Amino acid sequence: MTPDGTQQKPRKRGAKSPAKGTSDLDLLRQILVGTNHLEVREVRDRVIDPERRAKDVGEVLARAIVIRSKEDGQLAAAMRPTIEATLSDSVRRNPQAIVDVIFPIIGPAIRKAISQSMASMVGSINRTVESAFTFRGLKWRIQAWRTGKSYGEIALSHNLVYRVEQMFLIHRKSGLLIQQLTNTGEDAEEPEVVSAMLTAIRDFVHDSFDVEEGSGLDTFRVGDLNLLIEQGSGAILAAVVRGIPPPQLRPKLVEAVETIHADYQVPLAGFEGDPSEFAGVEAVLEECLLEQRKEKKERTVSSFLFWTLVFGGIIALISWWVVATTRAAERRDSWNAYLEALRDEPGIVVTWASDSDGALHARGLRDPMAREPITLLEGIELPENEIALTFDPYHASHEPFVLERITKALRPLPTITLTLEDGTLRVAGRAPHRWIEAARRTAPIAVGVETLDLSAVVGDGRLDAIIDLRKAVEAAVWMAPAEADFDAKAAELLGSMKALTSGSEDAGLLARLRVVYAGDGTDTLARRLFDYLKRRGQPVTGAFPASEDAAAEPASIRVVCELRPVPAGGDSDK
Amino acid sequence: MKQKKICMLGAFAVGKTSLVARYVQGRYSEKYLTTVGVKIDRKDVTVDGETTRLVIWDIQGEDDEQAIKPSYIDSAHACLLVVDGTRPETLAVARRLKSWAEAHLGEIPMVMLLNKSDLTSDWRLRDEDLQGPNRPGCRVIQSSAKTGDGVDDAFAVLVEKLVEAR
Repeated sequence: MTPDGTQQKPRKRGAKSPAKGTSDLDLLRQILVGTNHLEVREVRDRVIDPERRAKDVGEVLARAIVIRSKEDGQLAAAMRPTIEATLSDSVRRNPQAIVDVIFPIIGPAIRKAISQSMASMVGSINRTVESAFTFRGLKWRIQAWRTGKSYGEIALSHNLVYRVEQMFLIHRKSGLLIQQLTNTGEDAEEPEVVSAMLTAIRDFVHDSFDVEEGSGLDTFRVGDLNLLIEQGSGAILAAVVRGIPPPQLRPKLVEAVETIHADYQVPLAGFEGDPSEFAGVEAVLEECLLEQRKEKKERTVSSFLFWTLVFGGIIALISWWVVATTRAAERRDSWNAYLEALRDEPGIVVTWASDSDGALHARGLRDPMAREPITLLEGIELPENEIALTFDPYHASHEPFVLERITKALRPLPTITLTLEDGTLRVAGRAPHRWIEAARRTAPIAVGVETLDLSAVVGDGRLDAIIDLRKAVEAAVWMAPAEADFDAKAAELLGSMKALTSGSEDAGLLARLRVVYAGDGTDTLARRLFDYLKRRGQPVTGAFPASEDAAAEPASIRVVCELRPVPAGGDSDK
Repeated sequence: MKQKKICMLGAFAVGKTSLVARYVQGRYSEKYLTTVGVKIDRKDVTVDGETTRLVIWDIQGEDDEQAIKPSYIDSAHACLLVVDGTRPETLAVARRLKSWAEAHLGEIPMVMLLNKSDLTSDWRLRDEDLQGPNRPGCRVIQSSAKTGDGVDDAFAVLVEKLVEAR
């Protein structure tokens, strides 16, 4: 207090109490106790006046808080309810103010949380994918299946040097669980029971072996799990480590226990089973969730590529094999269908066929009158040039073939009909006597003809004459006749032709004659004959000059005779 | 969630483990297995909309309280004293255990169970054993781990007392 204040008061008092007696009393008091009574009054005023008292407290409040906080956590505990109540009241009354305050930090906090969880998710996917497609991954899958563990657990145990999988913060005296964290992504089973049991085991060991206070069970091992225990006065920290715990873990646990005891002294001392008093302790435990992975073999990517290529190659090979097999099967089916068609065809006999080494080859016999084998390929998908066929000629004994052959040999006139049935050749109609004789001689020796039935044939002498004439006409091949003989020979040929035409009419036949010239047209004599016959009304074919091909041959003229039955209802078609 | 540590105390073979098994898992086995050290179970109970997790310490039965490790009952919030109704001497053990526990823990909720109430023909506890000067100083409930009689009640009384004490 300034001295001014002390002096003002008596003045005021003097003004309020003008009575003389009062100032006398003051005077007396001053004489007796000097100025002490003024100081006493000053102190009394400071205590009584709330304004001044508040001012005094305000001056030392900050220092007092600092000093008390250093001593223990009672102040924080005492203030917490008020601060919480104030805060919640403030949020209720004016939420906008709080929103304005936390707005700048909440955005970055959310972003950080999201990016962290994304990064850890991507990391875990990468690790799984890396090992999932390797031979090693396959091995681990089998191991997981065999041991009944999850694939992730097996993969981790191979990938990890160590990992702190769980952290327990346990109230030392009661063994109750204060906080528990896992690093495996799965919730631990009954952590309260584990926590209590851990405490009981520790106590058991401690009491059984009569060790010093403060020491006890620090480590124990179950399979590849190691339990590290760090004890504080109020709480125990236990770390469940898969693999070999690193040397830096123990100091980390010690540090965490110290931090927890410093920060949560009051809740630890008064713990009654309510873990909510330990808000924020997860962050301390989280720092202990260390892990170290094995050095990744750089082979992973290349081995992934290698296996991809191997699998790709195998798939390509299988695909090729399937396609090739299908194609080969289709080709073989087509070939068999073609062979079947050949075997079904009259006049063709397949004696040997092969499709080995992709070459299609067939050998056999073929009647010259049978169909061309290659024409049977129609409708079958097989390239003609891939087939090799070798057929030797033979005479098929099918009746159509036998009849055709014998007809060709006997050359019957159109007045005769030939039929073959069950080996019996029947001849019907009018026939030249000499033809009947020839048939009688020839037919029985023909293959496929067993008996000859001539009961329905009638001999006709006129037809004998026609045959002779036809022979004469057809035999007359004019090979560059001499100039001198020309007229006589031309007249003779013309005569024969006319006789054949008229004789045929008498015998009920129609003779159709064609004069065929072959040559380059330079042969004047052949041309003369051609023109000669043409002028005399004989039917001629061919033209001058004829084809170029014929030029090398000597020019010739021949007559072809075709005999037909006279069409019904008309004498002649001429 | 709040947790409470509850200790099972009583003489040898009075049925502490069976009572816990009946309460936590709802089953009973005739087979007798002696507890070595301590066995821990948990059970969640909801009172007035608030769930509390009971961590039950089933402590090895001892006729001599000095043989029990005090650390097992450290900071317990409640105790169940178990007496075998067919063996009156186990009541005396329970009384001693009660005094011993109170010396360690102070005043905490306790309930005394007179177990094996299904064995009526062998029952040898008399009413006067628990009356007048012999009053045990805590709530007494007859129970049977075999039939389940009184088991849930006993725990319910304990939980109620724990909630009151809060």
